[in-house]
Amino acid sequence: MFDLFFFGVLPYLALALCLVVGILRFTVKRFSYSSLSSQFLEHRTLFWASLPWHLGIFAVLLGHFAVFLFPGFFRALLADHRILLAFEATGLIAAFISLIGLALFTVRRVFSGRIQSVTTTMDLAVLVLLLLQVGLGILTATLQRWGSLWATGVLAPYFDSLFRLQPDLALVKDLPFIIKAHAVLAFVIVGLIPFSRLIHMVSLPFTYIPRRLQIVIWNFRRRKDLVERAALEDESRRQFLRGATGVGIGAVLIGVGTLDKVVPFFKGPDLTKEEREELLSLKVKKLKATAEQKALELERMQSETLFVANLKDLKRDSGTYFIDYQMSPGLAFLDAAGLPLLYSAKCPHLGCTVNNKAEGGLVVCPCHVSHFRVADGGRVDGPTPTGLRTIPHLLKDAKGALVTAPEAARLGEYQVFIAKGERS
Amino acid sequence: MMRLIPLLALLLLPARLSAYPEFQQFILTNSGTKVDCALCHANADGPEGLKEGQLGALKGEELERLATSRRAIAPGQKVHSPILNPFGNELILRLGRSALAEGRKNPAAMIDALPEDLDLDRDGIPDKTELREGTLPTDEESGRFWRLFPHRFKQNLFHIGMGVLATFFLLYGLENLLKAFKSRYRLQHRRSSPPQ
Amino acid sequence: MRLWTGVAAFLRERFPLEKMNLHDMVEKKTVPIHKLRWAYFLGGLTLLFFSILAVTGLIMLFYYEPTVSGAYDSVRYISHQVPGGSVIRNLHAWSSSCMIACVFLHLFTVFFMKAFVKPREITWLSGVILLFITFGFGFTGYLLPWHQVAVNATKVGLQSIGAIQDYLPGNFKDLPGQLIHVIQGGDSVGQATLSRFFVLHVVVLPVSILTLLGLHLLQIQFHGMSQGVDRPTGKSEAFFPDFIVNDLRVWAVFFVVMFIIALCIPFESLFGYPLLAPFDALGSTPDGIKPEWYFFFAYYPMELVPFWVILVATTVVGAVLFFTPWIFANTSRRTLRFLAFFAFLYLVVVTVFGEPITLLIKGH
Repeated sequence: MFDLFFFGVLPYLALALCLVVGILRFTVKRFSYSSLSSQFLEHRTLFWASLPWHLGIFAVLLGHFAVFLFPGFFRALLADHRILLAFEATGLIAAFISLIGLALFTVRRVFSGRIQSVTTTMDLAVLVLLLLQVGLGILTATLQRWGSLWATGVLAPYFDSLFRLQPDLALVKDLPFIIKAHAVLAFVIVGLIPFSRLIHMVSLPFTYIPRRLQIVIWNFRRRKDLVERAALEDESRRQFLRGATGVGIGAVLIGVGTLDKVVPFFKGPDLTKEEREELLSLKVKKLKATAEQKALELERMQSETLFVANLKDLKRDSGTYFIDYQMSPGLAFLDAAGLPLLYSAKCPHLGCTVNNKAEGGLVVCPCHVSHFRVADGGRVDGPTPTGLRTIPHLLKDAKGALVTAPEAARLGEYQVFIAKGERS
Repeated sequence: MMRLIPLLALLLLPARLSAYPEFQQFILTNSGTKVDCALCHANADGPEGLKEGQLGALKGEELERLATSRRAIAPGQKVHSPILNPFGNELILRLGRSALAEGRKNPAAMIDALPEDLDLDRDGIPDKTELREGTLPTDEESGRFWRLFPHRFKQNLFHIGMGVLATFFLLYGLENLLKAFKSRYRLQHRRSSPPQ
Repeated sequence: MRLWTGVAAFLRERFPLEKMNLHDMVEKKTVPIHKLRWAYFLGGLTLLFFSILAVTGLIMLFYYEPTVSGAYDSVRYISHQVPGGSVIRNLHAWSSSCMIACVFLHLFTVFFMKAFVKPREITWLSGVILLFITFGFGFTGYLLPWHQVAVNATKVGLQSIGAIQDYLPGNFKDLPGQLIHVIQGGDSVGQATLSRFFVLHVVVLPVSILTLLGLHLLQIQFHGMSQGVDRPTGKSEAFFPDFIVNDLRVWAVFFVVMFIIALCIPFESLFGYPLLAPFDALGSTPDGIKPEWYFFFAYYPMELVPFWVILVATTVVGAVLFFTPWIFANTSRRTLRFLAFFAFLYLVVVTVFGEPITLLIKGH
C-alpha cells in the first residue's frame, strides 16, 4: 500500500508538479527563475558554503544520472572492484563536501541577522530536506554497500519501468529502508523544485559554472579599487578552490589506487602452506650454509692442516674449488705426474674467482679475461700483473700419516691437505 | 672433515642423465646470451655433483622420483625430477626424454616443436622464445624487455591510467594552489599600499 | 689576520644573510628565458628522482634483511611475493639510474653555462660533493641484493683501491690494503661489508646528502639563477609560481614515464639471469661481471691502460672538478662548451660502446 503510493503515484505527482508549475512560473513570473542572491548581505560564509555545496552536489548528481542513464555500461565498469572502490569513494567525498556547504548554508540562514530578513519558510524547508537527503545518501553509501550496484541493478530498471508508465513495484519491494527513504525524498524534492529557489538549477545556459562570480558591491568613490581588489580576492579564492579540488581528486585517486596496494604491501603476501614451507626451508638452507661457512672459518683457526680433496677426485682439465686459510677460494688440479697442483683462485688483478674449467691448459678469470696456465699458474695474457699464487700441498695416506715420498701405485688412497701459514 | 667426503657411489648410477651443453651452445650462437644449466636444471652447475639439486645429494624419496622421471621416454608423463626445475619437468612432459635426447642434434627443431601457448611464468613470452633467447622461462621478470613491455603494459593498464589521472589532477591542483598563493600575496601587497 | 678577514669576507659574500627572507629569496627571484632554459630543470629533476628513491627505499626497508644468509631471499621476497613490491623495487632501481643520468647532465650544463663563477663557488663545490655522494649511493646500494654481480662487482671495485699500493713509497704500501680492510670489515667481502654498506646506504649517505642538499639549495636561492648565456635575451619568468609550475609539469611527465617503465620493464631483465643468482662464496665468478653503467667511464679504461694512467687521470679530473670555479673563472662559454662536449662524448662513447671497444682492442 505504502509502496504503491510512494513508488507508484508520488513519482508521477512530483514530476507533474515540477513540469506544470515550473512552466506556469516561467510564463507568469519569469524573473523569479533564480535563487535570490544574498551575497550582497553576507559574502564570507556564503563563499565557503556555496562552492563546496555546488561542487559536491554537481559531482554527486552527475554520478546518479550517469548510472541511471547507462546502467549496462556501469554494471560492466563497476564489476572491477578497484573501479567500484574509486567510484564510491569519489561519490562519498563529494557528498561530504556538499554536506559541509549545506551545513554552512544552514548556519548562515539561522544565525545571520541580515540573512534572516530575506529567509522564507520555503528556504528553510528546502535546506532541511536537502540536509536529510544528503545524510540519507551518505548512509546509503556507508551502510548499504554498494550504492552504485543498487542503482545499476535495481533502481535503474525501476526508473525504466516508470518511464514506460508501468511502474514495477516488485523491484523496489525489498529495498532497504534507507534507500527507499532516499528515493522518496528525491521525489519530494523534485516536486518542490518549482516552489522554491531550487528552480535556479534549470536556468539554462549553464555558463555561470565556469564564469567568474557575480559581485554586487556598494557604489561609492573608492569603488574602482574595491572592484579590483574584490576581483583579485575572487581570483585567488577560485584558484584555491580549483587547487583544492585538483589536489583532492588526485589525492583520492592516489589514495584509492595506492591504499589498494600499500595496505597489502605492509600486511605481506597471503602465501599458501606450500609457499610458506618453501620459503622457510630456503631460509633454513641458507642459515645452514652460513653456519657451514663459519665452521670453515673456525676450522681454519684451529687446525694445522686443511683437507682439500681426495687425490683420486682431482682432474687435469677441471679444478676443484676449496677454501684456503685466508677464506679465499683455491683451485686444485692434477699435474702430469698425477700429483696435486694447488693455486689460489683469487685473480691477482682484482680478486675475482678464476674459472675452474681448463681449456687448452688455460684457465680464465671471467672478470677481465686474464688467462693462466694450469701447469704452473703463470700469467698468459690479460690485465693481471702476475700469475696465480701456488699453494704448497701436503699428502696424507689413509691412516692420516704424512707422505713424504708418494708412491705412484698408492696415489689413489692419498688425501690432499694444505698447511697453516703456507703462502708462497 | 669427513662430511666433505663425497658420496661417489650415487654418481655411478646406470643411465646417467647429463646436462645438455648443445642447448647452451645453441642459445649462445642464436642470441649471444651465455646461459648456465639453471635454465632447466635445479642446480646452475648441472646435474652432476654433490650440491643441492645434484645427483650426489639425492636422498631416498628423491631417487625414486629421479627413477620415475627417467622412465618418461614418451611425452605426456608428468614428472617431478629432483634434478630439474619446473621448466625441465615441463619439457619432459611435453616432449618426453627421447625427443629431448634427439633434440641435441637439432635444438632449433626441438624448440620449434614446443607449443606456442606454453608460458610457465605467464610473463607473456612463450617459453620457446625464452628458450631461444636464453632468458629464464620460470621467472616472470626475466625476458627481453621489449617483449616484456607490451604484455606488462596491458596487464597494468588500469594502474597506469589511474596513475596518469592522479598525477594530472595533483598537478592541476598544485599549480592552482601556487597561483592562489601568488594572488593572495598581490592582494596583501595592495592592501599595504594606499589605493591611488 | 689578513687571511681570516679574507675568509670572513668570502663567506659573507656567499652567505648574504640580509637576503634571508621570503621577499629576496622567493618573491623577487626570476629565472632567465633563453635557448638553454631546459637546463634549469635538471637540478629539480634530480631532486624528483632522489625523492622517489627516498620513499621507495624507505618502503623496502620494511622487508629487506641485511644479512648474508637473508639478503638475497628478502630481495626476492620483495619483488616476487610482497604485493606491489616489484613496482617499488623497480621504481628504486630505475630512479637510481635516472638520478645519476640527471646529475651528469646537470654537471655538464652548469659547467658550460658557466654558472659556477663568483659568487656561486659554494653551489658548485657542494654540487661536486653531492655527485660523489650519489656515486656512493650507487656503489653501496649495488651490493645489497647480494647476488653474483653485486658481490663480485663490489669486490672488483674495492680491489681497485688496492692497486694503488704499487705506486706508494715503502712505508705507505700497506695503506690501501688497510683501507680496504676497514671498508670491508674483514679479509674479504662478507657479512661485515654488507652491514657497513647497508648503514652507509640507508643512514650515513642520506643524512649527508640531505645536509649538503640544504646548503646547495640555500646557495641557489641566495644568489638566484645564473644567466647562463653570453647574450641574455632579457626575458625572464618569475621563480614563484611560474618556474615552479613549469618544474612541476616536468616532474609530472617524468614521474608518469618512470611509473610506466617501472611497471612494465623489470630492471633486472636487463641482466642475464646467471648474474642474478645468489652469491656463492665457493663457486666461480660468472661471466660478464660489470659495475653499474655509471661506473663504466672508469671501468673500461681500467682494463685497457696501465693503472698509473687511471690514477693520474682520476686525480686530475677530481682536482679540476673541485677547483673549476677558480680554474675556469676567465674561460669563455664557447671554450667551456667545447670542453664539456668532449667530456660528454667520452662519457657516452665509453658507456655505450665500452665493451665492444675493449674487445676490439684486446683482440678477443
